[in-house]
Amino acid sequence: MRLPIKSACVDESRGETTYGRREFLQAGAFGVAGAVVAGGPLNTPDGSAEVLAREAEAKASATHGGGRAWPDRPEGWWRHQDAVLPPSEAPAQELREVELDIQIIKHEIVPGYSFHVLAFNGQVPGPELRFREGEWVKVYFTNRTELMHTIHWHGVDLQYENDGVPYTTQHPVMPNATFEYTFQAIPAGTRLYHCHFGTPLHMQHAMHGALIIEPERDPIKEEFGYTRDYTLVLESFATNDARDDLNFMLERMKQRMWLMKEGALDEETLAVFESKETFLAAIDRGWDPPYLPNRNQKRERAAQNYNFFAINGKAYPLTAPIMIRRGETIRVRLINGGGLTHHMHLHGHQFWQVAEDGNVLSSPLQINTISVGPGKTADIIIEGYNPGYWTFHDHDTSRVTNNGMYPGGMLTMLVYEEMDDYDGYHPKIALDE
Amino acid sequence: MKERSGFSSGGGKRVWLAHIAAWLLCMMPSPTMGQESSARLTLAGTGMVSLNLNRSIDQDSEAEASNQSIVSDFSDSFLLLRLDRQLYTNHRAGMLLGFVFPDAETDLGEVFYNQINVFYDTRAFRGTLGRTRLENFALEFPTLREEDLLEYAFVLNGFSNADNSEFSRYGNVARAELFGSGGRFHARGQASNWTVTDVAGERLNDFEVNSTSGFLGYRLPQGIRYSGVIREAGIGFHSQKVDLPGGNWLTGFSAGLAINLSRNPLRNVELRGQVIHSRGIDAGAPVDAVATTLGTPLGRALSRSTALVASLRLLRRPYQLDRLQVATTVGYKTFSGVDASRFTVVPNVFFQLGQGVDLGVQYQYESLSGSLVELLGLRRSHSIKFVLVFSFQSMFNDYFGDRDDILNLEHGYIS
Ligand SMILES: [Cu+2]
Repeated sequence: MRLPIKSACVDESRGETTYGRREFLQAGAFGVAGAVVAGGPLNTPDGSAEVLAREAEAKASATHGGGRAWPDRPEGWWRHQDAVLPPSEAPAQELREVELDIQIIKHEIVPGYSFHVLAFNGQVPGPELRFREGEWVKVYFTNRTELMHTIHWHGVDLQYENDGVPYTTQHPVMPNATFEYTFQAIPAGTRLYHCHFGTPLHMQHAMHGALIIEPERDPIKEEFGYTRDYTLVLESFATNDARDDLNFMLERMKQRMWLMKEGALDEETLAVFESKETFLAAIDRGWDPPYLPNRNQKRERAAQNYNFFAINGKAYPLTAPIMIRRGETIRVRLINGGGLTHHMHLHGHQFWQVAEDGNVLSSPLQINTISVGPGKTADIIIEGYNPGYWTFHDHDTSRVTNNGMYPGGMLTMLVYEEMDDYDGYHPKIALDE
Repeated sequence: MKERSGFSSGGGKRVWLAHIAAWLLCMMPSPTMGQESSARLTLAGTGMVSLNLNRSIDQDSEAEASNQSIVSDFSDSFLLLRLDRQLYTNHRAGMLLGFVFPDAETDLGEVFYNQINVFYDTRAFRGTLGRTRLENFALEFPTLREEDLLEYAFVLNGFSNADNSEFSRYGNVARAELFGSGGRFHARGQASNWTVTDVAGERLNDFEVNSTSGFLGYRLPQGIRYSGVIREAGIGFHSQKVDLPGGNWLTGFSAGLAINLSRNPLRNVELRGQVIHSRGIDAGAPVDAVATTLGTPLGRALSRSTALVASLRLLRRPYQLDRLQVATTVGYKTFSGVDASRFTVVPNVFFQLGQGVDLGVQYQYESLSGSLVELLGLRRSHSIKFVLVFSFQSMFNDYFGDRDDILNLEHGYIS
């Protein structure tokens, strides 16, 4: 089943002597099924019905269908044969302990432009957490703001009271309080963590971070033998809306904290009810829920006005480049921490999508633009066969802007380290085209 | 080469003129130059119409002669436009343009432009130039209209004999304010032109700086207004260079304190008090008759007086929304050296029917004593006002925060 495409793409000797599209086309032409799975314009220029049908068939195949296949997977890691273990099962001596806090900070996304964000450990995005698959983790989460928060471990199969959904699995973490999340890091893959309280505001601005669970044996590593592993957290900010909302929430919450201390905070003021019955009883008493137009129109705002976009907390031209060497294979983990879908396009390369939502795809998909929706993650493999400077950016180019100015925002570059010695065109820093 | 350097030669002169022309063209505003940065726009206004039932009882108490009237009154309704924007320095500058509808009896016309000014803002500084509030008081009080307390709660205009409140509330200022702790503390100094009228109350074209004032204040920013006991405090002086035979300077002092008796954000109880002492023009000196007659607005402004105002306000805010306000304000003013004083009490109740829409009723009782009774032809007055108030504030293109935003206040200022 498995075809030796990898060797054709990353073979050092090939990389040394020739690289480029011609060889790549040959590599992509290994077998019909390989071409089908690759599915890109290079391999299916006509998009014929036959090809599309085969492609659909290949995608639909739940097994190692259609061409590029994985080595034997370690047994059982992608499916839970057993029930998820509760935190009480955590082995005390082998517990991995992590401290996270949340603060309001001023964050400079590009030189000259700062805004207030909610930052895990004072960082945007929050610190990258890496655990071994199956490892037991205890996270001490301390709230150093005057708002309420939780942490949701997105894509982790854990006991529900550690899932971090306020009023559903726990009470929100109050100001100055510390909450302990305990869970086993399963399953392996590229995942994320984020606040689940006031999610549209908190998660996007900027309570999100990478959560990477490393398997004992990684089929992606085994197949592609990548040498470097990058994480790109994609972010979208509506800074003016966030300022307005944060000020409002802080004012309201300060008052609620006073009421709480006095034991005078009732369900109706908090708009949180013990049950559907008490909620409906409040309606019967004439209580107006806060979503009614007489109480709320988001201050004349129907939708968030996104004006800054970032990768790992920084907008172009401050985004960090993705470095690669000729002949090198790298892994890039894309994590969407924001509320928009980003269509990340890499110039000059066909890359492999190998995982989605952290889970390894049944077949890698060869593409050059990948859509990453809110809460989604995608792992891609980039093979270094075309030295140069290659932009990697959201192809909804309204997000390749800083405050509406192009270029900026969600734009970074794949840079070959050899380019330092190259006597040709080198990128400038453009801020206004 | 020769042409470029030779301004003195004929050819050089033509080049030089061409340069000037090109330079002038460059200076012309062009829509294609640069990026458009829009101003932030804040629109605010209040429509306030009351039905007033007035009853006044003149000096002849024996006869109980009284006047009664029912009037509809939209005075103090206003519309205000604020435009401001961020500068290249990250400071801000803007303008206010606003007008109020004055009382019909004032001869001010249909509208009075109370705000025509430009301002320059930094984190710690604000400069204001133009017509705006004179800030000739320490605190504001919870009455329906400011003019309800004009004689008690303001340092009065020593240049005006017009029977209106606008000339004692608004003027042309050059003002500098310094802020500390995100607007909690501020110091204000201003030179101003208070409106000058003739004896008949006709406005004169006199726009010279004629006053100066200074003020030191403390105020809990709006976003955290219930968070402390002391909500507002301030002390100031207001000197008007009246240049009358009795004295050159008319100086008034103001001091005020507002405290949260209850910090409960659902049932706020607030007490505030202010004293204004005006030193007056030396009564011993020969002064113009108008100036010393308490029967005229100018006479009262120029007289040595002390005014006290206090209010107690209860605010019911179920679900953190203003819904009901019950307040009582008491004012007392006494004139020195003569037997004259006045007293008022102004209870009112406002129900908020929806955000920005208040239905209210206010009662005001005022009683004069001593020579004021004869001079003003009034002993007591009662008024009841039934009012519907619609007010709004909308901000458009809101792209920067303000000095006393909680974020800027507590989490680092963003310029
Ligand atoms: Cu949160």
